[in-house]
Amino acid sequence: MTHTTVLLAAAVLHQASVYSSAPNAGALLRASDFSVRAGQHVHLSFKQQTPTGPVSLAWPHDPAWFFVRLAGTQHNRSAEQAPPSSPHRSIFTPTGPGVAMIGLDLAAAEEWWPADALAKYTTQAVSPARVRVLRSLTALVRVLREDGAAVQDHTATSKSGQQAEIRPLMDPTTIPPGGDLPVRVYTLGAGAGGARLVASHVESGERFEFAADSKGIASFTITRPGVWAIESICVEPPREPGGDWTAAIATLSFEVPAEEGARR
Amino acid sequence: MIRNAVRLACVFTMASAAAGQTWTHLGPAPIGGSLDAGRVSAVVCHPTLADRYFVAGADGGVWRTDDGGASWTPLTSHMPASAVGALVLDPNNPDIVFAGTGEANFANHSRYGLGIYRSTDAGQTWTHLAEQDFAGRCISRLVIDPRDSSRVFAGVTWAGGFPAKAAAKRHPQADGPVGLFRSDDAGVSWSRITTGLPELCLTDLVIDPSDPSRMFAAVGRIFGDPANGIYRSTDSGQTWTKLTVGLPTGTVGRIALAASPSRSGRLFALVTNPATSTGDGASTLAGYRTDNGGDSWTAINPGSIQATYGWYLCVVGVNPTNPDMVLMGGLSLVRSSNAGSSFTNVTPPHVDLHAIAWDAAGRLVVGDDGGVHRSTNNGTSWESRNNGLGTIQFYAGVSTHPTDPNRFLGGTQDNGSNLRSSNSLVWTRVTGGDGGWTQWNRANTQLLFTEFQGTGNIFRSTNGGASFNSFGSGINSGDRNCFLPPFLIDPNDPTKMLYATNRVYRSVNGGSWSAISPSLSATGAIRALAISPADSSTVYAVTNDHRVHVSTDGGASFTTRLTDAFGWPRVTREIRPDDSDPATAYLAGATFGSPKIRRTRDRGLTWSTLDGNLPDLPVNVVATDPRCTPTTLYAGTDAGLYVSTDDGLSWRRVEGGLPNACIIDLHVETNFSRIVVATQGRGLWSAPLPDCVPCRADFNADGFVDFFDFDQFILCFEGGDCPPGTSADFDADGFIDFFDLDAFIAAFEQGC
Repeated sequence: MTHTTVLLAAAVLHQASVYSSAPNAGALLRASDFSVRAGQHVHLSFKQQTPTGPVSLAWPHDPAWFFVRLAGTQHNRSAEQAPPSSPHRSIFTPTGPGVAMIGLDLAAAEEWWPADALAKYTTQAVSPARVRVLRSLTALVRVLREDGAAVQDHTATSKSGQQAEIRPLMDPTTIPPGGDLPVRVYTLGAGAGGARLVASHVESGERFEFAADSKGIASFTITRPGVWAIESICVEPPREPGGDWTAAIATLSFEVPAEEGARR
Repeated sequence: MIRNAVRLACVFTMASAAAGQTWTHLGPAPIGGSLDAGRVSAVVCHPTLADRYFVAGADGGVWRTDDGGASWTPLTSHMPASAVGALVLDPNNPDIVFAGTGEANFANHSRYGLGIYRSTDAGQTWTHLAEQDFAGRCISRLVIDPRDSSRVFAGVTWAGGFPAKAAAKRHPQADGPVGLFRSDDAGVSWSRITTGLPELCLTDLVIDPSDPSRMFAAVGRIFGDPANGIYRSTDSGQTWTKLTVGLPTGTVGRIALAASPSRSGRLFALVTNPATSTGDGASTLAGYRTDNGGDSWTAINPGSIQATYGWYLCVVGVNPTNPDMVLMGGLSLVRSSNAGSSFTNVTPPHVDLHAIAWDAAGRLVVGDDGGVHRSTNNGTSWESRNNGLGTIQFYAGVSTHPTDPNRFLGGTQDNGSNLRSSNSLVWTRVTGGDGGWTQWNRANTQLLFTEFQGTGNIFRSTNGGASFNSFGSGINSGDRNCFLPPFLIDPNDPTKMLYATNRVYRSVNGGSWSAISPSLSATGAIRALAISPADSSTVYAVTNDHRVHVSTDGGASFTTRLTDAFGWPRVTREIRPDDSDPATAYLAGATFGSPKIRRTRDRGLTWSTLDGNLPDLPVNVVATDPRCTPTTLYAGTDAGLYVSTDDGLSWRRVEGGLPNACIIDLHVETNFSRIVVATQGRGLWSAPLPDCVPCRADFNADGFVDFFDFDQFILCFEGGDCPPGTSADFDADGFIDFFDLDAFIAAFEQGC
């Protein structure tokens, strides 16, 4: 997994965005490598999509939450401890093997969305409106032992509790090509029924669009090894007249191993 | 003297011989990788011994660690109720421990309690108290007056569940009084405090650390009530007044409280919106702080931390030395270091928080749906402390492997479906979410099936569990389900499977599912499904509107045969067809006050009860040992395993080390000569099957040869009570002497 390849993830994700007409759409948490050995630095960067293409951003200085979960441990970083602005930061060095879940909740934002963006999520006539946007980003990084061996770790299937979340119900870092990946989408911890998803294979550009059921559960088939990115969006109209729309947007990135590395 | 010496020698001699006949814990403890255990509902830490914690398994009893969670010891395995939700140490003597039974977290799997346990030796021994006062309900909080340790207060709630009180399982006292109770004799007798307090569920209770005459109570009926709110007493709990200034004026749901130990008059509250009848809607309303002992409150904003089920997750803790540091727990855990002005997310590795405490070294210890997690920096970083904490809550539908006795597959509460593939307590999670029913194809052991909650969320592995693919094609996702639908491989044709929503689906040769039956319930879903091993055309189904249905055409059409099958609303294995007669089936009754075990010999036309002397306990599952005549019956109850060798005329409790846990699934495996027990709260257990031929070494006739037989024989030998029909004249030579002891020991060592 080269750094160049990782950068491609954002571009493909942008092309696949289910809400590409929405302003400031798409964001991805990118790891320098999705498979590292214990003790090896993992560099993370943050890229946000725009209608004109992916734009590199400085690391958000005021995330609502940033954490790394790995093999029964978790490190939470509060806003004041977040790294200063930098396109790439050596965020963590895993000390043990497993699957690291790296999560980032951005501070809630208020945006004006055009009517055509909102119209995708309602059958009613809409006009441009203010939308409260909850964005969360997650990356799964497989951490091998120093001798290169993989170990079991169920962190990937654990619920993170992020404000917008795509939770794999199987560990995608161990699924062989041809396997199905079921996920559950949450908004503020509750199942996001009807959420729309796009799964994209970074190198090939292959993509799948699908929707979650009433409980927020959805599934797609992983067709090939390599880096994948899933994006979900759940948009809800105002609960009261004059209120804001709400959009919960989550992305999940991970690497599917080749067949021989897929076995537990 | 000589006899005692011989007896002691016998004990040591027989230890190894009997060891193989006791129950073995099979795990998970913990689940590998993430190192999760089952839900922990309460945590208390010793005030001076930094590594001593007591925790409550939500349905796993009380546990203690003396090494900071590196290892755990169960303390109440023999006590009658395993659901525990409240713990407190006597502030004047931390060897005195009170445990409130019943888990007041209001889920279907938050079972009723049977009163209060008290220990005066740090949990080594316990006294069961207040069963008559609180049975069928839950203790939400226990507090002890630091000025008088004999004065104990208990917050009491109804058991939870959807529909309401489902977790009480129709206990005869399920509708008994709730609210605040006081004991002035260390828990022996109790009286309800009524002055100023409504008779509603009390979800939290605090004694002001700086002024013990001042108390605060949270009345928080989860479905909302105008009387819900925060109440204060200034006369040691005798009279109460509802506090209003700054608090919400509308109807609220569950409330949690915590007082600052280091700043007089400061408290925090977490207030939840009311739940709907189906459990939705209970999001975070707000947090509140008072700095003047409750005279007025200021709203603070922890964020939306409880999803829509704050009725299940609602806890507050204040750092013991820093009054500005408050933690509020729901789905997430958030921390404020400025008395609530702002919060930071400090969620541990497993979400769903239920308990917050600090140990004597200042480390933060929490209980959540993944067990115990600890932080040395108030939540910035966490580590799992679950090694050996065997509190996993299995659901029905655990599967065994046909040829490898070490392999199991089972679904668990909020800890996924897990695979045991070797002789180890550590299991591997194969699919996530709430894990439900599982199946292991006995003709092709590479084929495994799991599911998670919802309709059609079934998965198949074709490589022994290394990976799984969706297997729900054809199942209508709009069908009603009982959270975790049952599904089966046909025991006579492993190419065929059935799956149950509110109707029955069939899959052949791994193909898509097709609905083959009409809906069996106008409002509910099928919670139990069974195919006769003797004839696949006979299919039994139980729906959660209390009906038993029987099909004689493989599940295409059903006839309703019973309408009073009350039980637990989630997936069960309550119907068990006979191994050789398709017209015969056994039905477990998982509620109090109704038939425990019924049998039909005519496909449900008529039923007879086999309750015998079985106590009035919910029976969740029945299993049979077909080798024996009459068939040996096993009943998995809410409090352990019972066995009958006389066709249900009489029942004996099975001892030998099996904890007194809620048994949710059973397998009699004659090929391995063992019985496997899955519990909700104590993981998986197995023991060798007893022989069908009456075994003389089974001196107490409980079906197992173990130290209880030895003790019973020694008692009899020394002139004490002998079991009916037995004598200490073991060698039947007309004399009771050491030859009888030798004969008994010989039989015991031989296993029979």
